[in-house]
Amino acid sequence: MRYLAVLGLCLLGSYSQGHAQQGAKPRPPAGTVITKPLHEEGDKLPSPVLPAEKFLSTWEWRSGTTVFRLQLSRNLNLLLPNGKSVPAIVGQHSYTRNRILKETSLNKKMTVLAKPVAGNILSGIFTDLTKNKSGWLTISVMPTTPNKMSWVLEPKEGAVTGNAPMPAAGFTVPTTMTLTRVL
Amino acid sequence: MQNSYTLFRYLLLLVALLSACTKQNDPALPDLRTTQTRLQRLSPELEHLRQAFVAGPYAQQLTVTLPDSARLSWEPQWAQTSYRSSQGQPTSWYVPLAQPAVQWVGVRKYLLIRQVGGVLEFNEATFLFDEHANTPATASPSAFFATFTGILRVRNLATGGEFPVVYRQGRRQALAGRAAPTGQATAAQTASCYTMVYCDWTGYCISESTVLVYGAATAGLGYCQSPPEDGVGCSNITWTLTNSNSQTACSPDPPYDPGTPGDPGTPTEPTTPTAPVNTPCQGMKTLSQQTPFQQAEATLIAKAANPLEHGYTYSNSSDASSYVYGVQNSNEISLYLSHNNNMEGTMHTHPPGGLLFFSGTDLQSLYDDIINNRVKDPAAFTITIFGANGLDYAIRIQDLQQFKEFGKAWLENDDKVRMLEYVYYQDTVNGIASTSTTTATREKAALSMLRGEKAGLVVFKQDRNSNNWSQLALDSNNSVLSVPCP
Repeated sequence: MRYLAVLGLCLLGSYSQGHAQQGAKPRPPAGTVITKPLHEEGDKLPSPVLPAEKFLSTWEWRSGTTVFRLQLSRNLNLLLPNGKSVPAIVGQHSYTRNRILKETSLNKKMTVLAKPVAGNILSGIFTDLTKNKSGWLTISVMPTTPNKMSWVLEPKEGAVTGNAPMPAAGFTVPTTMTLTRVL
Repeated sequence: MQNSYTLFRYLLLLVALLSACTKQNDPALPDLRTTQTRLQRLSPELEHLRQAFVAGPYAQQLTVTLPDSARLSWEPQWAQTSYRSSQGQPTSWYVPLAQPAVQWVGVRKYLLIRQVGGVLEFNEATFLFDEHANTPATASPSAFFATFTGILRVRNLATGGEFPVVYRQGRRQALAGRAAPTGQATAAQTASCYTMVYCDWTGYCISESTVLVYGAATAGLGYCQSPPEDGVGCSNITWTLTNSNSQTACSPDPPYDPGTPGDPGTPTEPTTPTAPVNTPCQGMKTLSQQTPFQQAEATLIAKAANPLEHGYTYSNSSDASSYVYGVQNSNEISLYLSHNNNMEGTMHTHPPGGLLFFSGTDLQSLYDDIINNRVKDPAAFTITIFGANGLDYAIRIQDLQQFKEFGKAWLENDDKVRMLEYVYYQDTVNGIASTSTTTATREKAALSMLRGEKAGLVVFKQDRNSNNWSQLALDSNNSVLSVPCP
């Protein structure tokens, strides 16, 4: 309590006297006043808002009895690990090879996370459920045929240490396809 | 009438802002680059401190945001540093902080640097005082602080934690038996909890032709009051709260004795020549000069054009036999590196067309190694990449706790890593993975991510022509700064 009293007295004394001197001698002008306004830390120029509607659909690729299906939708508030949220295009997929379902995330989890990076291009990350790995994904709607979309999946870099088993090479789904809008 | 007056005030503010914009190159307004030029003559010890400060996330904590959103930075005056020592070794340094654009009333600020267990700790030390009851602030620091009466706020720039110390006539007040020469701590004192509220204020004084800006700081138990409106000799000043911080403490005793500054370069105790501070940058330089490291580096650079990754782990950077070549995953870019639980570092290539910086997986692997205790010394552990395009980067951990928190948020599992890559890598304009922009823009994106997420990591870059490594950081203008490792 003695500390609190000392602190309180000091504070009251300091600030009731220090700044409330009636008739105190005016200080000379400070000279230089106000400086340039600065950008906020970490500011980036806002990314242009690119149309996403052309991607938001269900897409399919078929080769005989092998079918890859992709549903793309928009999540305006994708919650990030740091508590912030960002808009994103998210997707789920299924892959059936020779009439056997190999993997599906439909109605389960997000396996595509992407953003428009140009008028007709989505750039993002695809998750291979079977091999438990991810790859860089580039999706492009063809300007002259907007119901067609190219799919390019590429491996990601990364040096890994640890005891986790080395994932199998390549991806479960085709790495290059031309998808057709079906819905 | 009121509207006209308000309009007049905004017009004056606009005039002042415009005039300030023309002063961007005014030498009277120091920025980091001009400061650097002047600091070429600093002692090696001070230069180490300055580099550690610049490389860390501390400068951004030393800013004041005015009500009109303008931000002012407090600039360390390194050449005026004073220091304290114990047993011949410096233990803390006081670097005056200057903010010439604002007339500060009853406030002196210092950057207080402490060496705690071999780690540098950066604090903002704010001395609050009644100008009429103290030796004039224009006196030398030793004269001023010999009779200092007021409050010292000490704020840790990494954690935000803050504590007060009360001085009267240059002596710390008897707050507890351990720290002060008089008075004894009592059970009641020890058990008392209190909440201190700290406030920073900005006052605009509008005269006929100019707008003068004043700054003040107050503190109080449970609240803080605004500075009086007539305390600065301005008949029409309006104070606006620009920042506040409340801290609750249950011990009346400050965690350590911060002391007070002295005159520049004058030790408070006799000193002997000082041992250099071992910074991450120095450690990086030492590592890069090890012959086995250089041999492994040469091997990897020769393989950097290969479409697959190649790499090593090593458990003793000076012992070539401890370097273990990585296991190639067939037809995969990624690389699996063998390890033991005593690693000193990893190094690998990034192939042509690949990422030009550490991938999310690289950072995840670093996190896994740390939390699974696979590294010999987290502070010295180094991951290095050698790019096919000639760009080489290294990362070291500067703040282990921060890195663990960053890793828990973003690197704990693959889904989180994908989020990290989505937010910070996948952007063809400003992203780390961008291939359509400049190296500086990518480096800025990477450094912004690490700083914004408080990753606790420092980044280095090699100049292959000279084999020299430099530490990269963002300066107060958000530009990439490269500081050669001493």
